[in-house]
Amino acid sequence: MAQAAVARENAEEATEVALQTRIKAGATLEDISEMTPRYRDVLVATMAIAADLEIMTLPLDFDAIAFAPSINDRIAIASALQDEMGHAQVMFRMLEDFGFDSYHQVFERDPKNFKTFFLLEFGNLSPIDVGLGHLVGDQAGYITTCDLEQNCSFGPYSRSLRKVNFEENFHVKRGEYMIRHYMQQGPEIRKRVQERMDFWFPLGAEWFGATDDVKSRTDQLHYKIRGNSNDQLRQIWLQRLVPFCEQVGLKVPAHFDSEKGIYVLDYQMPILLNLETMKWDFRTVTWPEKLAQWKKGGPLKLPGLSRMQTELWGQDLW
Amino acid sequence: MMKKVIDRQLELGGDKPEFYEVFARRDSAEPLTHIGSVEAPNEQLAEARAWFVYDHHTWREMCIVPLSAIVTITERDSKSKVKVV
Repeated sequence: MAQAAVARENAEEATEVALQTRIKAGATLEDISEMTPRYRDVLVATMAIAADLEIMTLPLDFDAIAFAPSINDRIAIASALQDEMGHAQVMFRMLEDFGFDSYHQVFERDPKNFKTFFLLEFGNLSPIDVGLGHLVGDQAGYITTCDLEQNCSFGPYSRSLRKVNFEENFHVKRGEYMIRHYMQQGPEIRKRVQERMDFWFPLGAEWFGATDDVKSRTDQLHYKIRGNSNDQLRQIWLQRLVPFCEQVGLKVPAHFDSEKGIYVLDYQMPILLNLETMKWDFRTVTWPEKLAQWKKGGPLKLPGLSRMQTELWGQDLW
Repeated sequence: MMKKVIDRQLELGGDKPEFYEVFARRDSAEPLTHIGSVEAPNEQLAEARAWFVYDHHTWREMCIVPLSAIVTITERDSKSKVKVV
Protein backbone atom coordinates (compact mmCIF):
# COMPACT_ATOMS: atom_id res chain seq x y z
CA MET A 1 0.00 0.00 0.00
CA ALA A 2 2.67 2.48 1.12
CA GLN A 3 4.93 1.36 -1.70
CA ALA A 4 2.21 1.94 -4.26
CA ALA A 5 1.67 5.43 -2.88
CA VAL A 6 5.39 6.21 -3.12
CA ALA A 7 5.50 4.86 -6.69
CA ARG A 8 2.53 7.01 -7.63
CA GLU A 9 4.13 10.06 -6.06
CA ASN A 10 7.36 9.43 -7.98
CA ALA A 11 5.46 9.07 -11.25
CA GLU A 12 3.60 12.32 -10.57
CA GLU A 13 6.85 14.07 -9.73
CA ALA A 14 8.41 12.82 -12.99
CA THR A 15 5.43 14.08 -15.03
CA GLU A 16 5.65 17.43 -13.28
CA VAL A 17 9.36 17.80 -14.02
CA ALA A 18 8.82 16.75 -17.65
CA LEU A 19 6.07 19.34 -18.10
CA GLN A 20 8.13 22.11 -16.52
CA THR A 21 11.07 21.26 -18.77
CA ARG A 22 8.87 21.34 -21.87
CA ILE A 23 7.41 24.71 -20.91
CA LYS A 24 10.81 26.15 -20.12
CA ALA A 25 11.93 25.09 -23.61
CA GLY A 26 9.07 27.14 -25.04
CA ALA A 27 6.51 24.41 -25.69
CA THR A 28 2.85 25.31 -25.99
CA LEU A 29 0.19 23.09 -24.46
CA GLU A 30 -2.89 22.47 -26.55
CA ASP A 31 -4.86 20.01 -24.50
CA ILE A 32 -5.93 19.26 -20.94
CA SER A 33 -4.41 15.76 -21.19
CA GLU A 34 -0.95 17.36 -21.38
CA MET A 35 -1.37 19.13 -18.03
CA THR A 36 -0.40 18.13 -14.53
CA PRO A 37 -3.05 18.81 -11.85
CA ARG A 38 -0.99 21.71 -10.50
CA TYR A 39 -0.64 23.34 -13.92
CA ARG A 40 -4.31 22.86 -14.56
CA ASP A 41 -5.29 24.46 -11.25
CA VAL A 42 -3.15 27.54 -11.89
CA LEU A 43 -4.45 27.93 -15.44
CA VAL A 44 -8.10 27.46 -14.50
CA ALA A 45 -7.80 29.93 -11.61
CA THR A 46 -6.28 32.50 -13.98
CA MET A 47 -8.99 32.03 -16.61
CA ALA A 48 -11.81 31.99 -14.05
CA ILE A 49 -10.70 35.33 -12.55
CA ALA A 50 -10.38 36.82 -16.05
CA ALA A 51 -13.92 35.66 -16.86
CA ASP A 52 -15.32 37.14 -13.62
CA LEU A 53 -13.61 40.47 -14.32
CA GLU A 54 -15.31 40.64 -17.71
CA ILE A 55 -18.71 40.00 -16.12
CA MET A 56 -18.16 42.66 -13.45
CA THR A 57 -17.91 45.39 -16.12
CA LEU A 58 -21.63 45.01 -16.77
CA PRO A 59 -22.90 46.20 -13.37
CA LEU A 60 -19.99 48.65 -13.23
CA ASP A 61 -21.05 50.52 -16.35
CA PHE A 62 -24.81 50.19 -15.99
CA ASP A 63 -25.10 53.71 -14.58
CA ALA A 64 -22.74 54.97 -17.25
CA ILE A 65 -25.30 54.08 -19.90
CA ALA A 66 -28.02 55.90 -17.96
CA PHE A 67 -26.10 59.18 -17.55
CA ALA A 68 -24.20 59.16 -20.86
CA PRO A 69 -24.05 62.80 -22.01
CA SER A 70 -24.86 62.03 -25.65
CA ILE A 71 -26.26 59.31 -27.82
CA ASN A 72 -22.75 58.69 -29.18
CA ASP A 73 -21.46 58.12 -25.66
CA ARG A 74 -24.33 55.76 -24.99
CA ILE A 75 -23.56 53.77 -28.12
CA ALA A 76 -19.86 53.69 -27.26
CA ILE A 77 -20.52 52.33 -23.75
CA ALA A 78 -23.05 49.79 -25.00
CA SER A 79 -20.55 48.72 -27.63
CA ALA A 80 -17.73 48.39 -25.07
CA LEU A 81 -20.03 46.31 -22.85
CA GLN A 82 -20.97 44.10 -25.79
CA ASP A 83 -17.22 43.53 -26.28
CA GLU A 84 -16.77 42.67 -22.61
CA MET A 85 -19.67 40.21 -22.63
CA GLY A 86 -18.19 38.67 -25.78
CA HIS A 87 -14.90 38.24 -23.91
CA ALA A 88 -16.75 36.66 -20.98
CA GLN A 89 -18.44 34.29 -23.41
CA VAL A 90 -15.10 33.27 -24.91
CA MET A 91 -13.59 32.65 -21.49
CA PHE A 92 -16.53 30.76 -20.03
CA ARG A 93 -16.71 28.69 -23.22
CA MET A 94 -13.10 27.71 -22.62
CA LEU A 95 -13.83 26.91 -18.98
CA GLU A 96 -16.64 24.56 -20.12
CA ASP A 97 -13.92 22.26 -21.46
CA PHE A 98 -12.51 22.17 -17.93
CA GLY A 99 -15.85 21.05 -16.50
CA PHE A 100 -17.39 24.43 -15.64
CA ASP A 101 -21.12 25.09 -16.09
CA SER A 102 -21.14 28.65 -17.49
CA TYR A 103 -24.81 29.25 -16.78
CA HIS A 104 -24.33 28.32 -13.16
CA GLN A 105 -21.14 30.37 -12.91
CA VAL A 106 -22.78 33.52 -14.22
CA PHE A 107 -26.39 33.35 -13.05
CA GLU A 108 -26.57 31.03 -10.06
CA ARG A 109 -23.27 31.40 -8.24
CA ASP A 110 -23.30 33.44 -5.04
CA PRO A 111 -21.95 36.92 -5.90
CA LYS A 112 -19.63 36.58 -2.89
CA ASN A 113 -17.78 33.84 -4.77
CA PHE A 114 -17.01 35.96 -7.84
CA LYS A 115 -13.36 36.92 -7.95
CA THR A 116 -13.35 40.52 -9.09
CA PHE A 117 -10.81 43.28 -8.51
CA PHE A 118 -11.18 46.31 -6.22
CA LEU A 119 -10.95 48.67 -9.21
CA LEU A 120 -14.23 47.34 -10.60
CA GLU A 121 -16.14 47.50 -7.35
CA PHE A 122 -17.04 51.21 -7.21
CA GLY A 123 -19.86 52.81 -9.14
CA ASN A 124 -19.24 55.61 -11.61
CA LEU A 125 -20.28 59.04 -10.34
CA SER A 126 -20.27 60.81 -13.70
CA PRO A 127 -19.10 60.45 -17.31
CA ILE A 128 -15.66 61.57 -16.10
CA ASP A 129 -15.42 58.30 -14.18
CA VAL A 130 -16.32 56.36 -17.30
CA GLY A 131 -13.40 57.98 -19.14
CA LEU A 132 -11.06 57.32 -16.23
CA GLY A 133 -12.32 53.76 -15.99
CA HIS A 134 -11.24 53.20 -19.59
CA LEU A 135 -8.00 55.15 -19.23
CA VAL A 136 -6.86 53.65 -15.91
CA GLY A 137 -8.76 50.35 -15.64
CA ASP A 138 -9.04 49.10 -19.20
CA GLN A 139 -5.39 50.09 -19.67
CA ALA A 140 -4.43 47.88 -16.70
CA GLY A 141 -6.60 45.03 -17.98
CA TYR A 142 -5.23 45.42 -21.50
CA ILE A 143 -1.63 45.20 -20.25
CA THR A 144 -2.52 42.03 -18.32
CA THR A 145 -4.25 40.34 -21.26
CA CYS A 146 -1.54 41.39 -23.76
CA ASP A 147 1.00 39.68 -21.51
CA LEU A 148 -1.17 36.53 -21.48
CA GLU A 149 -1.60 36.60 -25.25
CA GLN A 150 2.14 36.92 -25.78
CA ASN A 151 3.33 34.49 -23.16
CA CYS A 152 0.68 32.00 -22.09
CA SER A 153 1.86 28.42 -22.46
CA PHE A 154 -1.74 27.21 -23.00
CA GLY A 155 -2.21 27.85 -26.73
CA PRO A 156 -6.02 28.14 -26.85
CA TYR A 157 -6.05 30.81 -24.12
CA SER A 158 -3.33 32.81 -25.81
CA ARG A 159 -5.12 32.64 -29.18
CA SER A 160 -8.50 33.55 -27.70
CA LEU A 161 -7.00 36.80 -26.41
CA ARG A 162 -6.24 38.12 -29.92
CA LYS A 163 -9.86 39.16 -30.29
CA VAL A 164 -10.01 40.39 -26.70
CA ASN A 165 -6.95 42.61 -27.07
CA PHE A 166 -8.01 43.85 -30.47
CA GLU A 167 -11.14 45.24 -28.81
CA GLU A 168 -9.63 46.34 -25.47
CA ASN A 169 -7.32 48.66 -27.37
CA PHE A 170 -10.38 50.65 -28.49
CA HIS A 171 -11.59 51.00 -24.91
CA VAL A 172 -8.26 52.46 -23.80
CA LYS A 173 -8.21 54.82 -26.78
CA ARG A 174 -11.71 55.95 -25.93
CA GLY A 175 -10.60 56.70 -22.36
CA GLU A 176 -7.74 58.85 -23.66
CA TYR A 177 -10.10 60.59 -26.04
CA MET A 178 -12.66 61.32 -23.31
CA ILE A 179 -10.14 62.60 -20.77
CA ARG A 180 -8.42 64.81 -23.40
CA HIS A 181 -11.86 66.20 -24.16
CA TYR A 182 -12.79 66.87 -20.53
CA MET A 183 -9.41 68.46 -19.82
CA GLN A 184 -10.20 71.06 -22.48
CA GLN A 185 -13.49 72.10 -20.84
CA GLY A 186 -12.15 74.80 -18.52
CA PRO A 187 -10.79 74.91 -14.94
CA GLU A 188 -13.92 73.68 -13.16
CA ILE A 189 -14.14 70.46 -15.18
CA ARG A 190 -10.36 69.99 -15.05
CA LYS A 191 -10.58 70.17 -11.26
CA ARG A 192 -13.27 67.51 -11.23
CA VAL A 193 -11.21 65.23 -13.47
CA GLN A 194 -8.22 65.73 -11.15
CA GLU A 195 -10.29 64.86 -8.05
CA ARG A 196 -11.53 61.67 -9.65
CA MET A 197 -8.07 60.77 -10.94
CA ASP A 198 -6.83 61.04 -7.34
CA PHE A 199 -9.33 58.27 -6.57
CA TRP A 200 -8.66 56.09 -9.63
CA PHE A 201 -4.88 56.16 -9.85
CA PRO A 202 -4.02 54.03 -6.77
CA LEU A 203 -6.77 51.58 -7.79
CA GLY A 204 -5.02 51.11 -11.13
CA ALA A 205 -1.60 50.75 -9.53
CA GLU A 206 -2.82 47.97 -7.24
CA TRP A 207 -4.65 46.13 -10.08
CA PHE A 208 -1.41 44.22 -10.67
CA GLY A 209 -1.35 42.85 -7.13
CA ALA A 210 1.35 42.65 -4.48
CA THR A 211 4.85 43.94 -5.19
CA ASP A 212 7.52 41.48 -6.32
CA ASP A 213 9.43 41.61 -3.03
CA VAL A 214 6.36 39.99 -1.46
CA LYS A 215 5.29 37.79 -4.34
CA SER A 216 7.80 37.19 -7.11
CA ARG A 217 7.87 33.49 -8.04
CA THR A 218 4.26 32.63 -8.50
CA ASP A 219 3.12 29.46 -10.20
CA GLN A 220 1.69 31.62 -12.99
CA LEU A 221 5.23 32.66 -13.91
CA HIS A 222 6.66 29.26 -13.13
CA TYR A 223 4.34 27.61 -15.67
CA LYS A 224 4.54 30.52 -18.09
CA ILE A 225 0.82 31.10 -17.80
CA ARG A 226 1.97 34.72 -17.97
CA GLY A 227 5.37 36.20 -18.76
CA ASN A 228 5.82 39.33 -16.67
CA SER A 229 5.79 39.76 -12.90
CA ASN A 230 3.38 42.08 -11.05
CA ASP A 231 5.94 44.88 -10.84
CA GLN A 232 6.93 44.52 -14.50
CA LEU A 233 3.30 44.81 -15.59
CA ARG A 234 2.78 47.78 -13.26
CA GLN A 235 5.82 49.43 -14.82
CA ILE A 236 4.33 49.11 -18.33
CA TRP A 237 1.12 50.67 -17.01
CA LEU A 238 3.04 53.58 -15.45
CA GLN A 239 5.03 54.06 -18.67
CA ARG A 240 1.81 54.53 -20.61
CA LEU A 241 -0.32 56.39 -18.10
CA VAL A 242 2.06 58.85 -16.42
CA PRO A 243 3.29 60.59 -19.64
CA PHE A 244 -0.31 60.83 -20.86
CA CYS A 245 -1.38 62.48 -17.59
CA GLU A 246 1.56 64.88 -17.70
CA GLN A 247 0.64 65.79 -21.25
CA VAL A 248 -2.98 66.64 -20.46
CA GLY A 249 -2.12 68.35 -17.16
CA LEU A 250 -3.25 65.76 -14.62
CA LYS A 251 -1.18 65.23 -11.48
CA VAL A 252 -0.57 61.63 -10.42
CA PRO A 253 1.49 60.30 -7.50
CA ALA A 254 4.23 58.81 -9.70
CA HIS A 255 7.25 60.11 -11.60
CA PHE A 256 10.14 59.01 -13.80
CA ASP A 257 13.23 58.25 -11.74
CA SER A 258 16.09 59.15 -14.06
CA GLU A 259 18.66 57.37 -11.88
CA LYS A 260 16.79 54.09 -11.92
CA GLY A 261 15.51 54.61 -15.47
CA ILE A 262 11.98 53.56 -14.49
CA TYR A 263 8.73 55.10 -13.32
CA VAL A 264 8.18 54.96 -9.57
CA LEU A 265 5.22 55.62 -7.31
CA ASP A 266 5.51 58.60 -4.94
CA TYR A 267 4.18 56.38 -2.17
CA GLN A 268 5.01 52.94 -0.88
CA MET A 269 2.44 50.21 -1.60
CA PRO A 270 0.24 48.94 -0.06
CA ILE A 271 -2.08 51.78 1.00
CA LEU A 272 -5.71 51.73 2.11
CA LEU A 273 -8.75 53.48 0.72
CA ASN A 274 -10.97 55.05 3.37
CA LEU A 275 -14.36 53.71 2.35
CA GLU A 276 -16.22 56.41 4.27
CA THR A 277 -14.51 59.42 2.72
CA MET A 278 -13.52 57.53 -0.47
CA LYS A 279 -10.08 59.09 -0.11
CA TRP A 280 -6.76 57.28 -0.11
CA ASP A 281 -4.61 57.28 2.97
CA PHE A 282 -1.04 57.29 1.62
CA ARG A 283 0.52 55.85 4.75
CA THR A 284 1.95 52.43 3.97
CA VAL A 285 0.19 49.52 5.66
CA THR A 286 0.92 45.78 5.72
CA TRP A 287 -0.07 43.40 2.91
CA PRO A 288 -2.42 41.41 5.18
CA GLU A 289 -4.30 44.68 5.87
CA LYS A 290 -4.51 45.39 2.14
CA LEU A 291 -5.61 41.83 1.35
CA ALA A 292 -8.35 42.18 3.96
CA GLN A 293 -9.62 45.33 2.24
CA TRP A 294 -9.60 43.63 -1.18
CA LYS A 295 -11.37 40.63 0.27
CA LYS A 296 -14.08 42.79 1.80
CA GLY A 297 -14.50 44.45 -1.59
CA GLY A 298 -16.03 47.70 -2.78
CA PRO A 299 -19.66 48.80 -2.39
CA LEU A 300 -20.74 47.83 -5.93
CA LYS A 301 -19.62 44.20 -5.94
CA LEU A 302 -22.45 42.31 -4.25
CA PRO A 303 -25.42 44.55 -5.19
CA GLY A 304 -24.10 44.92 -8.75
CA LEU A 305 -23.67 41.21 -9.34
CA SER A 306 -26.95 40.23 -7.74
CA ARG A 307 -28.70 42.88 -9.83
CA MET A 308 -27.07 41.39 -12.95
CA GLN A 309 -28.36 37.97 -11.90
CA THR A 310 -31.93 38.92 -11.01
CA GLU A 311 -33.15 42.06 -12.75
CA LEU A 312 -34.48 42.48 -16.21
CA TRP A 313 -33.05 45.75 -17.49
CA GLY A 314 -34.60 45.90 -20.97
CA GLN A 315 -36.98 48.88 -20.95
CA ASP A 316 -35.39 50.65 -18.00
CA LEU A 317 -32.06 50.66 -19.76
CA TRP A 318 -33.14 52.56 -22.86
CA MET B 1 -37.91 46.90 -12.09
CA MET B 2 -38.90 43.56 -13.60
CA LYS B 3 -37.28 40.42 -12.28
CA LYS B 4 -35.35 38.22 -14.62
CA VAL B 5 -36.75 34.76 -15.29
CA ILE B 6 -34.44 32.52 -17.23
CA ASP B 7 -35.85 29.45 -18.90
CA ARG B 8 -32.92 27.08 -18.91
CA GLN B 9 -34.66 24.79 -21.40
CA LEU B 10 -35.35 27.63 -23.84
CA GLU B 11 -32.03 29.41 -23.53
CA LEU B 12 -29.71 26.48 -23.17
CA GLY B 13 -31.73 23.55 -24.47
CA GLY B 14 -31.67 21.85 -21.09
CA ASP B 15 -28.74 20.79 -18.98
CA LYS B 16 -26.60 19.30 -21.71
CA PRO B 17 -24.77 22.09 -23.53
CA GLU B 18 -24.75 22.15 -27.33
CA PHE B 19 -21.80 23.81 -28.97
CA TYR B 20 -21.31 25.33 -32.40
CA GLU B 21 -17.93 26.15 -33.88
CA VAL B 22 -17.60 29.48 -35.69
CA PHE B 23 -15.61 29.89 -38.91
CA ALA B 24 -14.97 33.11 -40.81
CA ARG B 25 -12.75 34.92 -43.29
CA ARG B 26 -12.15 38.64 -43.60
CA ASP B 27 -11.53 38.77 -47.33
CA SER B 28 -11.26 36.60 -50.37
CA ALA B 29 -7.50 36.08 -49.95
CA GLU B 30 -7.76 34.83 -46.35
CA PRO B 31 -8.39 31.19 -45.48
CA LEU B 32 -11.65 30.31 -43.76
CA THR B 33 -10.51 30.19 -40.12
CA HIS B 34 -11.86 28.75 -36.91
CA ILE B 35 -12.44 31.90 -34.83
CA GLY B 36 -14.35 30.57 -31.85
CA SER B 37 -17.20 28.65 -30.38
CA VAL B 38 -20.64 29.36 -28.93
CA GLU B 39 -23.15 27.44 -26.87
CA ALA B 40 -26.78 27.44 -28.03
CA PRO B 41 -29.85 25.16 -28.00
CA ASN B 42 -30.52 25.59 -31.71
CA GLU B 43 -29.06 26.90 -34.96
CA GLN B 44 -30.95 30.20 -34.86
CA LEU B 45 -29.64 31.17 -31.42
CA ALA B 46 -26.18 29.88 -32.33
CA GLU B 47 -26.21 32.16 -35.38
CA ALA B 48 -27.26 35.18 -33.32
CA ARG B 49 -24.67 34.46 -30.64
CA ALA B 50 -21.86 33.93 -33.17
CA TRP B 51 -22.75 37.22 -34.81
CA PHE B 52 -22.95 39.03 -31.47
CA VAL B 53 -19.77 37.68 -29.90
CA TYR B 54 -17.46 37.61 -32.91
CA ASP B 55 -18.21 41.04 -34.35
CA HIS B 56 -14.66 42.40 -34.26
CA HIS B 57 -14.36 42.32 -38.07
CA THR B 58 -16.79 42.78 -40.92
CA TRP B 59 -16.48 39.24 -42.13
CA ARG B 60 -16.68 38.39 -45.82
CA GLU B 61 -17.81 34.91 -44.92
CA MET B 62 -19.01 33.37 -41.67
CA CYS B 63 -20.53 29.98 -40.89
CA ILE B 64 -21.18 27.70 -37.92
CA VAL B 65 -20.80 23.94 -37.56
CA PRO B 66 -22.34 21.87 -34.76
CA LEU B 67 -19.52 20.45 -32.66
CA SER B 68 -21.27 17.08 -32.81
CA ALA B 69 -20.72 17.00 -36.60
CA ILE B 70 -16.96 17.20 -36.26
CA VAL B 71 -14.95 14.01 -36.63
CA THR B 72 -11.68 14.22 -34.73
CA ILE B 73 -8.47 12.83 -36.16
CA THR B 74 -5.52 14.11 -34.14
CA GLU B 75 -7.67 14.87 -31.07
CA ARG B 76 -9.21 11.42 -30.77
CA ASP B 77 -8.15 11.05 -27.13
CA SER B 78 -8.71 14.65 -26.20
CA LYS B 79 -11.50 15.86 -23.94
CA SER B 80 -12.22 18.78 -26.26
CA LYS B 81 -12.86 17.81 -29.88
CA VAL B 82 -11.91 21.25 -31.14
CA LYS B 83 -9.83 23.83 -29.32
CA VAL B 84 -11.74 27.00 -28.59
CA VAL B 85 -9.88 29.00 -31.25
